[in-house]
Amino acid sequence: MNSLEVQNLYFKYSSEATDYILKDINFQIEAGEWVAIVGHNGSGKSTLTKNLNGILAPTKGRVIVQGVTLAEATVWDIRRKIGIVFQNPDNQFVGATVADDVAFGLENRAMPYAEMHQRVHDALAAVDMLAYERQEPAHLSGGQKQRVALAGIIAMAPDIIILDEATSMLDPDGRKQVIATVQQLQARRHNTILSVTHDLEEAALADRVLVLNNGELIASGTPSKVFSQPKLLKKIGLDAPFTQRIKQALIHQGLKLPDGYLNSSELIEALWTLNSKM
Amino acid sequence: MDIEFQNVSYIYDANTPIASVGLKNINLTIKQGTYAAIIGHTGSGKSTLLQHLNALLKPTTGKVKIEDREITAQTNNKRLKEIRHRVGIVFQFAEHQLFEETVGKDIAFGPQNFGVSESDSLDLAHQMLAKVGLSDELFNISPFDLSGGQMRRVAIAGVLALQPEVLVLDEPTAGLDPQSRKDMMALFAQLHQEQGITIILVTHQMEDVANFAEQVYVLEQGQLIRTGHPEDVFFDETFIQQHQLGVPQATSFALSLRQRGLKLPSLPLTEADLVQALTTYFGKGSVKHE
Repeated sequence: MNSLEVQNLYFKYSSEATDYILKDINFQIEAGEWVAIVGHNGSGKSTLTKNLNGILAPTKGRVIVQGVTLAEATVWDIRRKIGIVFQNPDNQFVGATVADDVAFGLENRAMPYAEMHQRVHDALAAVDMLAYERQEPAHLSGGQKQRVALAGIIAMAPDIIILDEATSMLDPDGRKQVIATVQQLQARRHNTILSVTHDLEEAALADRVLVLNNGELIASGTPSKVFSQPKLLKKIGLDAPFTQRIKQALIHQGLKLPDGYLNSSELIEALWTLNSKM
Repeated sequence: MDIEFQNVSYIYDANTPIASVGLKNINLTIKQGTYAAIIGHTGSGKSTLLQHLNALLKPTTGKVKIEDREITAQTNNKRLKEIRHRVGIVFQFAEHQLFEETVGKDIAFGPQNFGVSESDSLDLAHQMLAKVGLSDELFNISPFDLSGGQMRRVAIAGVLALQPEVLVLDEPTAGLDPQSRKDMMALFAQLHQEQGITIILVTHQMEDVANFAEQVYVLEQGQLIRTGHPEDVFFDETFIQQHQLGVPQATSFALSLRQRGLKLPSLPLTEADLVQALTTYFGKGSVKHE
């Protein structure tokens, strides 16, 4: 069974609006898969995210979460299955301490104290923030804040975690911390991950990439397939990842390098091989 | 106008039990027309320093000289208007500060506050909207109907409308997609080149530092620990490692290549440098393409 499925989804904000913001979106995500949706600012990424857990309702089409169609009657059950980490770390804190904050969602569900305590403890351990349990969230760095936000989601134990530009406001260190944590979650807890981003270095870590432009899905495939189309990426304002840009420029200068997307260590090996042949 | 810090220290909540050091004995000079970058980890004092650049904060000890104006702990809050007119600060997520009914009115708000007439300020707003690369059709619509990238541009147009001589930018491209990021950095470079505006960029994007800055200031725990040209700073491997600073992707990639055994003679700062270095290394590129 698919973890998440979107069928012929259309969305516009008002019935009078002539243009749809999302047009005929179709995709499926398997349980345990990490899918990245990429697109420039204003491409419809966040609108799509909001359609997935019923913050917005599709104008046409369906969202199906673990076999259940999203509707007014099912939205509360579905929200238990999907956790979203949003862009701005400062907008998602309510608790006076890190532990209180992680406990907030569980308190809302009236979970017994002992179980809640255990869950908060485990969730903070999973994001490596246990040492900060009693600190005020305001005193944390951006990366630490987003890891606490992630812990708040983990504590609720959803199967699907959506990262809506969750790293775009972080410095490079903070970004690395959050991404490493997400990789562990996917590996250890088999969470389904949907990351919505315009950072292609982040998208390169996903199993599959969907490209959204002006409300339409215009390409999908493995990162290496999508990233070896630099013209497509440039056209939609995304630019190719660093290694792809360097590789293309070198090929242009006459160096013989392999086709397809290479990550950093692969490109280093390719250049090393070339070096050994000299 | 030159900006000079002389032994500037700043203590948050001074004389209270929760007093904490924001800046510690900072000495620096930023000459008129420089493109400067301030880097350092979260909490290193970048934002505190930035707020001293137009007297939003006053030093606890020491003085900040902005051209011939001296700002010290004793400086009266009156007569600071002129400084704030001449030093424009674009804060992080500047779009959060938009508030007017229309894009045009929002941009015109700043100049009007400084005594420019309504019609002159609206004229200015039209010019600034064009300058930040937005269509004049947006002039009369609500800023809240724009995309995030467009809102950021409107907020920047609002600061440019003050026609500052010094433009201070706090993470101006955070959260923007690659194309918007490039366009925005190109806009600042153009302002710097064509109008000689001093740019002071606070950033975590080492590529932007490599591509644009002439002078880098490195902060750590409220102290200025290094000043220099980007090359001097980024190529000092011991210093970078010691302080766990990031370097531009091109530099870091070249360092990994060296580690793998490739004997690259010099380190690159930008992508173009890296491609050039590798092309030369592999003895290619003598045939000019295009």
